[in-house]
Amino acid sequence: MPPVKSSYKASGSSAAEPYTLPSPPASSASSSASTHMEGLNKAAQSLYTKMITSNEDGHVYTQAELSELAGISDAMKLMPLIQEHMNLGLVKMLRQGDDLCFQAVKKEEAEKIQAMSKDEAMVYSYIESSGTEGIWTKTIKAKTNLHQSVVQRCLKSLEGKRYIKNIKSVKYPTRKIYMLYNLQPSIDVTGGPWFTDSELDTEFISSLLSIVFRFVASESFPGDDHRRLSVSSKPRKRNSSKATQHEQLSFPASYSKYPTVSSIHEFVRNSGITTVDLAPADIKSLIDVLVYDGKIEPIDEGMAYRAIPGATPECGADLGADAEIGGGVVWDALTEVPCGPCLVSDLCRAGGPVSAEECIYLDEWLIQ
Amino acid sequence: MSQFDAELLVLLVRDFYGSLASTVIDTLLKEGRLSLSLLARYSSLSTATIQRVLVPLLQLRFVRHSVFDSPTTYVVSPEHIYSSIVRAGQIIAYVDDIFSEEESSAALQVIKNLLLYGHIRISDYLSAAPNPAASTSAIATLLRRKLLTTLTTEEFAPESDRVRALINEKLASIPRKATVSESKRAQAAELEAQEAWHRIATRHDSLSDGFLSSGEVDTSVVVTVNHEKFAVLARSRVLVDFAKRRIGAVTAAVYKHVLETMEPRLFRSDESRITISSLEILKNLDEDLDLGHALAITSRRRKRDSSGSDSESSQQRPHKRRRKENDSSSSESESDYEMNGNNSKSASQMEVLNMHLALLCSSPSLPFLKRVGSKGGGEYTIDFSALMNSIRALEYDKLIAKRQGAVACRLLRIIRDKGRIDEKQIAQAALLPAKEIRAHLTALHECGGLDLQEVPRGADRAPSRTYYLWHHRPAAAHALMAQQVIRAMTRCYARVIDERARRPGVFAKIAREAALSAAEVEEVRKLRDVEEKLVVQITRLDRLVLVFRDCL
Amino acid sequence: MSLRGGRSGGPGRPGLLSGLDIKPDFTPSERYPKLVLPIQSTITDEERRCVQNFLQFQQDVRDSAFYVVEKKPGIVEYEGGINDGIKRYSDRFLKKRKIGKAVTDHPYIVDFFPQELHSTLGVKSGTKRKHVKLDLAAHKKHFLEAAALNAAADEESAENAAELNDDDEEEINNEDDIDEEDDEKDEFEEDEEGDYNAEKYFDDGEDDYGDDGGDDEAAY
Repeated sequence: MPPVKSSYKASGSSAAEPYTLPSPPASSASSSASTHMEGLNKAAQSLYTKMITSNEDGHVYTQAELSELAGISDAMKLMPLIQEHMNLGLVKMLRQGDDLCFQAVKKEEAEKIQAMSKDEAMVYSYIESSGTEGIWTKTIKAKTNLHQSVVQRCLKSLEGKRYIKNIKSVKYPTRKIYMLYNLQPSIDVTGGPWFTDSELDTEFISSLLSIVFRFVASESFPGDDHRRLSVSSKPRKRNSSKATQHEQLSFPASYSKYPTVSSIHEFVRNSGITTVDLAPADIKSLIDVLVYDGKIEPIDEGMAYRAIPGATPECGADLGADAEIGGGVVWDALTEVPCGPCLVSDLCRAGGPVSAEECIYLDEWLIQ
Repeated sequence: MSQFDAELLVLLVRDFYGSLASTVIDTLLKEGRLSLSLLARYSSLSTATIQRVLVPLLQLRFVRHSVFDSPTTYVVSPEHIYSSIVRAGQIIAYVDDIFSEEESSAALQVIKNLLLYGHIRISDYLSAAPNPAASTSAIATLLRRKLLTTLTTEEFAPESDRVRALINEKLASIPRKATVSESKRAQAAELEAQEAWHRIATRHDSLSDGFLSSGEVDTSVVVTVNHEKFAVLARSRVLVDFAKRRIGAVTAAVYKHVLETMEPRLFRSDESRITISSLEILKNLDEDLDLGHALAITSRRRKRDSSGSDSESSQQRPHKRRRKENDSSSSESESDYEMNGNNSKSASQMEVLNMHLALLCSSPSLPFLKRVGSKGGGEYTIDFSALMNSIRALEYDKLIAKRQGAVACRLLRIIRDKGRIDEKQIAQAALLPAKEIRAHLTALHECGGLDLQEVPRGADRAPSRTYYLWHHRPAAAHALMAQQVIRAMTRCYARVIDERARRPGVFAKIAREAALSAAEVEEVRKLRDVEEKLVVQITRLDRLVLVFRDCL
Repeated sequence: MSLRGGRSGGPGRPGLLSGLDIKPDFTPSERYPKLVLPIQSTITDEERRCVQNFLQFQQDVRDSAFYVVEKKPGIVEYEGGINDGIKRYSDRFLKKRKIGKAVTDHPYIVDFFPQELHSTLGVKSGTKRKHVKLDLAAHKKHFLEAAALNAAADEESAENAAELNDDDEEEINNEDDIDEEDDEKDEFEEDEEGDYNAEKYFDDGEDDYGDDGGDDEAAY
């Protein structure tokens, strides 16, 4: 057995880092769940069970808590029990700040690790501690100080046993990153729901944007089933022609049923458009893009959103042609004359290679 | 004044007032301030010719003369030339609109002659007018509405001179003290001068300007067109157009009325805010406007369910409204309509008006109106500065969208919103791959829409360890765009001149009123069409100039 | 394609040109790259009114004393003509334009002007300026507008020629007479005022009225 520096000191960092155990004697190679426990004495067994059942998975116990749980106040008597756990890999010792604490390890997990080679166990523990972020092979090599080929062997073996998996990071597409098999990679790694195979799925986003916009638009304007307000003491009059070429029907400003982030989220979720799990924050990203595109606007200080009149799924309001409002409300003064889009306007001057007088664009524009 | 402005002005002056006038204007624009002899030297015109040309130019106040310099120096007033020529058509149309049929002919005569002659003494006008009584009445109305303003000798001097004189005056009145430095004295003098200047510049704002104490028109005064006021009115039209698009025609009509109610107190575009109340707005509101018809009420459930379980989907659940100060009335009215079985269908005039006003307040990106109090049924103001900033941004975005596409516009808006931001963050916010946006960012950079700032991370300036931060500076970007607008106007007008010059034969025939052949009639029609298209475009471009330059 | 100007590789040295990519002259299609042509949105009636106002305003200015031109003979500005100083046969048919009303022909407010221009205003030192009556603009229709109206009227009368009865003919003739009278009056008035006698520089156009037969093939 390789010497262990000290049972009670983990490595220097203040984050909870695993303390790798020396592997127990050969008998562990074929142990099964029940026999695994058999190595423990009754007191240790009961403490272990209590650790598992009293709190949520992964609960980190302080020494004091364990003391209470075990009903043993004397540290000298407590420690050996814990040591036994640790020998069998049933308890992990972690360091949080200046204190040592302990975490129960599930039996299956403990066995798994006991069954590994020492190197594998070390590699595995680093992968485990990287959680949903995953860890780079290079980092594993650095931290374990193992030879490249050793690391590779371990990874292969662990992968084969389906304990770990290789994932693609959106930030570092060329790196080999590993994490525990049944964990979901974090958003940082996958890029979130917008990434498929670490590439931005622009079609997906596009269709979602369209759907969200249509939904907001459908909730932004009153339809035929809404009644119009009448003003008391005045008989209902037709609007005078000058006021309405385009009969207005708006919700009052106090209307409170405009879509919100949560109602949009619910809509998308219930629509079955996608199986990808979209969080409200993702919906908010979509909403923000629609706002930037000039299709919807936040109202009531961002509590809700409504579509801007004139916006279409393809084009924001104020950014497109305005044929429906009737010509004359001019918004494109610079771009509707050739000079606006002209590419050679810098060269244009009287008598120059291009000029207003000779301009062929104007020639055509003027005879439209 | 940019180079492009000069080009446009010289072109217009030459076509309207002749090449001598344009030569003088051109020389002054190039050289700045010149005396008569220097003008002769730089323009290669004789002194006598220049004198002859200066007379109408001074009459029109296209050129100002300095009373402080000896020999007298002359300076161009570019904004005045621009407004007097480019906006003449619109000014006449506006006057036509505000006067009734019977009165408009006299009023139009007044305004047309004022545009033609720059300024006129009222008594001179009346003695030449065919109908002095009608003219007097028209002049009185125009004065009261501040579309005309009175002139005194000081207004013929360049503004910078007048301010300078004021500063000198104030400086002289501040005694020298050993304890006070020269620069401090200068600062204090400038401050006082600014205040005094504000009083002087606004002294024609009083309602009695141009009138005798009896209330009659003072025929001894000299009047001129008040371009500042017309700019305010033009701005109002722009705002109403935007309201019509954003909200609807009826609300826009209400907004038009709001602006008209404020108008007597709006003298120039850079004014500070005015507050008016719903009561004031309600007065004189067009009776024919059916305000309620444009608003939808939400209660369409036949059964009142207090339990909250309705057939409508949960989308219909009202969102929590933020409690806003001064907003109590509008949120009350909503619940009134929903809860009150009896009153749910109707509301009072005042309530409905307030609902429209609330709509005008409701868009954060286009704050047409702002509610600031609840007296008199509700108090409202317009923050023109914020509103025009938003409109400028919108117009600029539109130009970018048309020229470079919707993606470029999205990126621009993200950057404008976030401040200084790097490519990665932009891509994240835009939900687009970084590679795809790079080209757009470069294009935006090239057209002056974005600035790039390099922030090195380490001591070395290695590109891989540098932050590249994108940034949008509205003032600079808009100024560049305004230049392009002016350039386009110049070209349109140059083309008008050219199109006319191409058809001398037809002109000759018209001049002698000979019968035109069918082909020639076609020529004339074509020319008229072309003129119309180009001049309309110039008018439309002028609107952009108004938004970007005159409403700051 | 002709070579323009002193570009490299004149006609005598083809060798230089052959290796170069530079073309000394470009066709329009090369100078103006392909562009998606924008379309001007429909013009409203209001905008039309503004245009008419603008053009008529220009007409007023051109007709006024403020359109200042050089006194020298030879450099004559013609309404709609080609202003290059060359006299043409067609000049005799152009609108007999006064070369500007005198600049002094306006009730200027002398105090608004600097001392050194007072003499130009016609103020002799010490005395007051003689009172000049303000000449309110006649606001003659923009000449193209007038031309178009005349043209339309002409077209109509041409179309109705077959069905023309005596009454109509008389009416039209009367209108023509009235126009002619007005023109004659205007011309006389213009002759009397002003310092510049335009008559010296033009043929008297009046004689031509009877001659509008159509034999005038003006050489332009």
